[in-house]
This record gives sequence, C-alpha cells and structure tokens, in this order.
Amino acid sequence: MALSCLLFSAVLMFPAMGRAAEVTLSSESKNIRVGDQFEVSFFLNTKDENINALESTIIFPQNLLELKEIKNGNSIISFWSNPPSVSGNQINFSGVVPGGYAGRNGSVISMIFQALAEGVSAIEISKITALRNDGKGTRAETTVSGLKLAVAGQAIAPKTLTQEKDTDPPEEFLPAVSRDETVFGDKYFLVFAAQDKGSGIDHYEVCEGARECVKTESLYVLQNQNLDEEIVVKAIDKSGNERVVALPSQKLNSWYTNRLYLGIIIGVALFAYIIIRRVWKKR
Amino acid sequence: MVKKQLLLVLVLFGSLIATVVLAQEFSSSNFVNSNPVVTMGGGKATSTNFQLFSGLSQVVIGESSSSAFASYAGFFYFPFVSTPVISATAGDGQASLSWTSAVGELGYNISAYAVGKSTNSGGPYSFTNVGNTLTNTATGLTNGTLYYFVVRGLDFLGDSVVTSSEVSVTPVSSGSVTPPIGGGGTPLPVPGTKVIFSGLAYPNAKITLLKDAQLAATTIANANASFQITVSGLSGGTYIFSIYGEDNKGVRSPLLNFPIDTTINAVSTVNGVLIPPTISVDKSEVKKGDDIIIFGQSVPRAEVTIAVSSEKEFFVKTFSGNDGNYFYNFDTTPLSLGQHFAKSKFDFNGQISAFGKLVDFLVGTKNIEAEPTPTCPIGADLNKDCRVNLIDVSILIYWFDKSNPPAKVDFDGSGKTDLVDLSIMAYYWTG
Repeated sequence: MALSCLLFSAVLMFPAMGRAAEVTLSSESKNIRVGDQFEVSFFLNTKDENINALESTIIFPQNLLELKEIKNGNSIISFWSNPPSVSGNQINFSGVVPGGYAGRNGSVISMIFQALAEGVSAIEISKITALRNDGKGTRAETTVSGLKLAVAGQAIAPKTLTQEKDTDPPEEFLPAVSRDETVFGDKYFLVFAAQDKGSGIDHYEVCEGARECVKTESLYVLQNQNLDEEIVVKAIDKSGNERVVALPSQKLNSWYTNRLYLGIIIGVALFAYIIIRRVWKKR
Repeated sequence: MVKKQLLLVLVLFGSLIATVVLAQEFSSSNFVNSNPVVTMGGGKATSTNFQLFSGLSQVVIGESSSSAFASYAGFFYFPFVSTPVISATAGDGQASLSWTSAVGELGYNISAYAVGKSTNSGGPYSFTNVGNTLTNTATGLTNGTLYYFVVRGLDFLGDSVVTSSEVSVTPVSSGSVTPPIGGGGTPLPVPGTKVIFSGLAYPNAKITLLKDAQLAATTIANANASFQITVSGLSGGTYIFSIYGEDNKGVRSPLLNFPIDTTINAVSTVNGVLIPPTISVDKSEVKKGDDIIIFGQSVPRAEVTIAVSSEKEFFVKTFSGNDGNYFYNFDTTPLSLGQHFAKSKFDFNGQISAFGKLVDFLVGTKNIEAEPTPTCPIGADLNKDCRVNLIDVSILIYWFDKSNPPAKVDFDGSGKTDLVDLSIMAYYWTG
C-alpha cells in the first residue's frame, strides 16, 4: 500500500514530464559506406498534444552527403504552405494537418541521401515550430532528436534504394473553380490537390478548351474567364502515371454560340412559318 | 517523553492554523462518499462498483502547476479517460491494429495498453500488455478465421480503466485472391482497398468523412445515432481520415482524425468512433448568480458531463433524451466575474467520448441572450460558402509570407499571413 501511495504520489507530482511533442530523424540503414544510398525519415510524436501545423529546417553536411530525393507521398501533412525543398545544405518545409494529428509515429517527409565521403554525418533539425490544433495556433513545446551516421570505407557495390515500381495513377480528385477579390484581381481561378501514395505527385497540367495544356501548380488562374469551355486537369506522379479529371463548362453556352441549338430554333421557326402560311392560304 | 511533548506542540500548532475542510458529499448512481476528508497521501480504493481516488499535498481540492509539474490535489471527482477508437487491417496470418490515444482528465493518465484477442464476439479475450504504444501487429493468426480485438487502457497500477469497442478482422493469405489451379473455378473477388468506419453521433445527424482533408463520403446516422461510412478506391499508404457530425441545428462537432495505414486489397475497419456532443449556451453574458442554460445534442439516453472552466473546473452531469438533446441549468453563483468556457462529453454504456468544442460566455452584471450558435465557420471561411476547404486554404497560401495581406487572411492580426493563420484555418476545417 505504501509503495502504491508513493508511486501514485510520484505520478501526480510529475504528470507534465514527457508531454512535449517530439520530432525525430531516423534511419534503418547501418554500415553505410561511401557511395551507398540510405533513407532518413522525419517523424512526429505528438505525445499528449494535438498538432495541426508544422514548420522545420533540416541541415546536412554537403561535403559528406548528397541529397538525391525528398519524398512526401505518405506524409501526414495534407497541405504544404512551403513544400519540402532544398537550398544549399538546408531542407525547408511547412504545412498543415486539418483537424490535427495526435499520434506517436507520424511520417512527415523522408530523404534519400548518398554518402560522398567518410566521416560522421550529423543531420540535424535546426528549426522546428509545431502549433496546437486549438483555434489559436498556440505553439507546442517540442523536443528534437537529430541523427548521426558514421560512413566508413568505400562500397564495392554501392547500395541504391530501388523504389518499388509505381504503376498506380494518382487518386481521383475534384478541382474547383472560384474567385476572390483578394487574389488575382478577382479573376476566376482553379484549385486542386491530388494524392499519390506511391511515388508522389510530380506536377499538374491544365488544358482549357482547345488551348495548349499548361504545366502548373495547384492554384491556377483560368485563361478563359467566361468559363464556357471544358477544363481538363491532369495529375502526374513521379513515375509518370497520370489521372485526368474533366470539368464541364461552368456556364451554359449562349444559344447563338451553339450551332445545334441555333439549327433547332431555325428549324422550328421555319416549320411554324410553313404551317401558318398554309393555314393562311386555305382561308 | 520529549517526543510526546513535541508531538503535542505540533498538534496544537496545527490546530491553530488548520484550514476548515468542507465535507461536501460526492455521489454517483451507485456510491456515496459521505463526509469526505482529503488525505495527506495519495491513494486509490476500489470495490466491485466504485473507485475512489485521493491525492496528496493540499487539503483543498485544486490544481497547482508550474512549468515543470502539475499537482492535482484532493478528490478526483469525475475522473475519466476517453475511449480509444480501434482499427484493424487484415494481413497474411496477421492483423495490423492501431488505436487513438485514450485521453485522461484530472491527472488520470494512461500508462500502457493491452490488446485483447478472441474468436468469439464479446470475448472472453486473451490480453497482452503492449506498452505505451498506439499500434500493434497480432501475428500467428489463422487465415480465414474471424478474430475480434479490443484494446484496454491501463493506469500506472496496471488496472484497466477503459476498453474500446470490438473490431473484427479475418486474416487472408496474400495468395488467396488467385484462382484455384486446375480446378476451373472462378477466382475469388478482390475486395479492393477500403476503410469502414462505424460509431455514434447524434440521431439522424449528417456524417462527413474526409480523406486527407478532402471530402470523401457522407451518410446519415440512424435514430439511435449509429452510423457506418465506407471509403474505397484507396491505394496502400498512410491516410488521415477525418469525421465530423452535424446536429439537428446544423452545429458541427470537432473533426476527429484517424491516421490509418492501408494495405492494398485489404479492408480496414474502425469501430467505436464517438463523436462528442455539440454545445451551446442561452446567454452570451449571464448575471452572476443567475442560471445559464447549457444545451446541445448527443447520443440518446447518454450521461452527459459538462465541464465549466473557472479558477477551478466545475463538472456537472445530465442525461440526453430520446432525441439526443440535453440541457442543464447551471447556477453561476460559484463562478468569478469574467470569461468562462464550457465543454461536454458523453458516456453511453461505458463508451466515453472526448470533450467536444468549447462554448464561451461571460459572467457579468446583466443577462444578454446569446446569438444562435453559428453553423458556418466564421472567419476561416474566406469565400463565404459556409465551408473551410481547399479553396480557402489556397487563398491563404497565396498570401503566405507576402507583405500587406488583407485583414481577412490575417486571423491573428499579426500583420502577416503565416503558419499561425494556417493553423487557425486548419482548426475550423470542414472539407
């Protein structure tokens, strides 16, 4: 009983310990040699928090490592305000999870590196901002754990990370047309966001009517502001698979621009004229 | 002798400075704690139908905290842990299990989880302590056999304090979808990759399911508030699914998020999704000492706990009716003047939801009737279509880190559109 009380007391006295969210870099690769490729993953453990926004900077030694690829197809982040990008020895990104993420092992991004030289490579998280899903954007206390990897010796047959062949196209998605007085001078624009859990989205293309398709990002100002033509949006993943979605004309064409309607109307008018004339002659 | 004198002096001195402890009774439907006295040591007492917690330090009930610790002293009236939501995905001779965190209140925390397995619905289950983790893979299963799993939250003493709903899964051989060799039979149908959610919301509530923050499916709960909703056409990978409900007044619940790792051509099931009650108040300002009506909708015939924040937190209980509606006349006498918040959760046959959204009110010198709870997410809905979705976030991201953004994309008035504004929008997300 005394032990229970002691344990109970200890838990009550220090319930806040270990509550800070935690971001970690980890790799399953061991015995890395010069020339080998290996993957480093960035994970979020929210502990008792519910996090809905994340911003971070990762730094790596350029003299020892070459960044080959950044993968985010399986990320918990739904929308990137700054998609993962590399600048010198820094990898930066920021994005949000609507509704928040509360879990222990949330994959944010992963990076494929190639070892260039022998030595201890320290990959560090130099900046981290995690915001709570509380409607105020309150900053959550966060701890970071970087990664140190020893590269020793020259690889005789360097390991390359062969990706499983992705033959699936991006998932179905629904583009939307909108306008807002604060963006693009109140012009109509198109928004879309497709998911590809295999290789990840590479780019989008928008084709308006008979116009040439335009390679674009997920926010696109429409060339045809009359919205009277079909819009085709293609989402293409990094393996070249594509998902095509067509948006019908947002407005009914004016009757005089549609030859079918015009023909029907002229035909009906002609038929009515003939009938009326025959009736008139009989009288 | 000296010791006895010293003890006497201490007792006399203590009696001079002792604080009067009010022996307020705490009761529930099956126990009464009469003339309670807060002990100077922590403890836990249990019988077959009640548990009593007491804590050390202060001789009055309250919460003390600093940057490094928090102490919850006194009786832990209405301590609770929300029920974890379990999901299962079939594998070859195995099942991948994951569950949401069981969230405790008043310092009542979960230290570990135990996974229960059975081949009979309702058990008995054989439990395995898997530690303080939210995932587990049950291996050594027989393909084609239906298994039932639950997860229990364990407190620091190893006692079970909450149990999830049951989820079922049938492991399948990875080669079971190929046609039989030489038999001329038809191949078994490929199930496709899908996730099935089921749970409780409000009677006839509209349930919306989002996949990676975008609309995936909607359904209507039945009169008992039960719902089931399926999303298919998925790939194998990590998805964040979100579910919310709208009550009979169009008021939305908070988003409940479920990160699920799907497997190609496997069905994942998520049982026991408990959508928290909606909540509103009848006054935006209430005269101190007058009642304020706290109301909303929940699962029918559920016990609804309402928490009202003040210098300390007040907990009161009521029951929802057959239509799921609940209300409580809260006497504001013990509340201090100023802003207060209320939130609610339900307990239905031992299934305990998390707390829902906060509603705020002012305790002041007069009564002001509250406006109806807005059904549209005010502020974050930039294009005023009553939804916060891809269009709104695209407009916000357009202004991200640009100078002189319009006021409507600068929610916190910081003079710039940044991650904080995105976080605020993400909170109000509807998809």
